[in-house]
Amino acid sequence: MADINTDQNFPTVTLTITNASGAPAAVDGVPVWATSDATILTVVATADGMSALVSTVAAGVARVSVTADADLGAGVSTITGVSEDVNVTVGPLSQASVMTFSFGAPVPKV
Amino acid sequence: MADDPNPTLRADLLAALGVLGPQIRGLDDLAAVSISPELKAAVLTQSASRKHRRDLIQAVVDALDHVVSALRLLEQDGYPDLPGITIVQSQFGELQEEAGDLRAAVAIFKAEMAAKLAIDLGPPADKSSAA
Repeated sequence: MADINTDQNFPTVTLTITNASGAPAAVDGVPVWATSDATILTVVATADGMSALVSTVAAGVARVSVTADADLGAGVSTITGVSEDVNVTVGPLSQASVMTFSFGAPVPKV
Repeated sequence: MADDPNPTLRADLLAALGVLGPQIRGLDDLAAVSISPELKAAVLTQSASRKHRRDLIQAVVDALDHVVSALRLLEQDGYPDLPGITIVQSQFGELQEEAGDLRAAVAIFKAEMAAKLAIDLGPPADKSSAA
């Protein structure tokens, strides 16, 4: 579980692609990034799909995922990577800090 | 006849040879007349210098001549065309069979595919610091 608050983001989320032996591997095309709940986290990937900016939106728990085509040939073999849970809490700057009262116009007690 | 690949350079070099020729002949003539030993030494030095320049220029001209000659041979060989070769049907069939065997052998091998995508979130940073 990764903790973060709504005043923060993950500016440099990186992707590592390996084969079954653990050695670096390539995929066909650009990896596609997504979040499990866009009301909690949003993701903007770089052009090559190897890193991304993950921004918080609101409190909650969400994950970041990436899908790619492992088949370098004509076929398609989709693999998916999922991040750990991201627990977003409300940050101090987002919390209520001022209470303003409006009394309205006075009226006579009848 | 193949064209000279650099006619401008050739013209410049031939013009330079045309200037050097009379100078060299004049210097050699001057060295033969009755002059002081010091002047004769200076004349001979200049003559040697210009002959050296003449020889270098001539070497470039000769190289240009060689290029023209080699280019002519290349064009006579059919350059730039490089036509395919017609062979008898039986040999062509043998080639196709061999190519098919090679494709079959290559198809045995497959590239090791990616199997894991690992996401590293990295440390969080304040949104205000990214601005």
